[in-house]
Amino acid sequence: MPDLYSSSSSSSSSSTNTTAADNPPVILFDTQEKEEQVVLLLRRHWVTNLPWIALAILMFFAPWALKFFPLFDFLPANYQTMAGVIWYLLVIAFIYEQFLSWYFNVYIVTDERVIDYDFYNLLYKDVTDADLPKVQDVSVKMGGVAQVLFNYGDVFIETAGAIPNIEFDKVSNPTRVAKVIHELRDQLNKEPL
Amino acid sequence: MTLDTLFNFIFNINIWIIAKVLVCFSLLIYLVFAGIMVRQVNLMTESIKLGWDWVLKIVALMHLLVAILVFLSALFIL
Repeated sequence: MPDLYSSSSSSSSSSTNTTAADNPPVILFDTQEKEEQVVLLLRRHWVTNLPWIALAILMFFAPWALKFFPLFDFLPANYQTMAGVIWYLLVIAFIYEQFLSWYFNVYIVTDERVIDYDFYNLLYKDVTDADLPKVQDVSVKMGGVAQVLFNYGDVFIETAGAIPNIEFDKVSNPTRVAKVIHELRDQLNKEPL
Repeated sequence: MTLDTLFNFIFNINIWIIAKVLVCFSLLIYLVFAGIMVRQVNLMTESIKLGWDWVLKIVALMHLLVAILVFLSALFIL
């Protein structure tokens, strides 16, 4: 389950080095056109998951600390058992929701447009897309030790008109992503109408 | 009801019964959350098909099942 898939059929991606899987899965999204081909499927870099994974591990082992700090000894045994069960239920829900948030927050670059799927939480979804010819400028921002070490960063896509700008947060290999978008846009702009 | 019987009633309330009601009510709210999670995973997988949809749906359903079991066990154990 990598954080970057690239289409092997894309001429633009074949000219650059890639750490991505070369055979993307069948990707279908609700607004996809018949002839539309997915060129890139991006997520936040896997390293960005480490903080919540560390927190989940801490939460998992937290009940062991109660052996040394018996805070709940005043509770009857059945309540102590239930407290443990409910705690692990919450830990599972936390892990699952964080994973879903990472898995479904995807950025898709097709041969026609760029799409930003944002699932902020279980109840709120935001989908933004912009046609490639309307892309005016693509810039990359990388900063900090982790981003330089693991080669990830933000890609900002400025669009013309009232279409909101699109931001790809903490994606792998942002320079390559920007290059692919540039090349696809130039290709489309050169095509006769 | 005289004031004495009212005080007697208040002082004789079993604190653990109140705790059980609160725990069961919280778990009922959690059940609703688990149900919303199943629905939302279905909506997400309808929006984007990424190849692992069935795994995510099974995990969401199992989570709902576990939440129901925990709610029932809280009803009987506490």
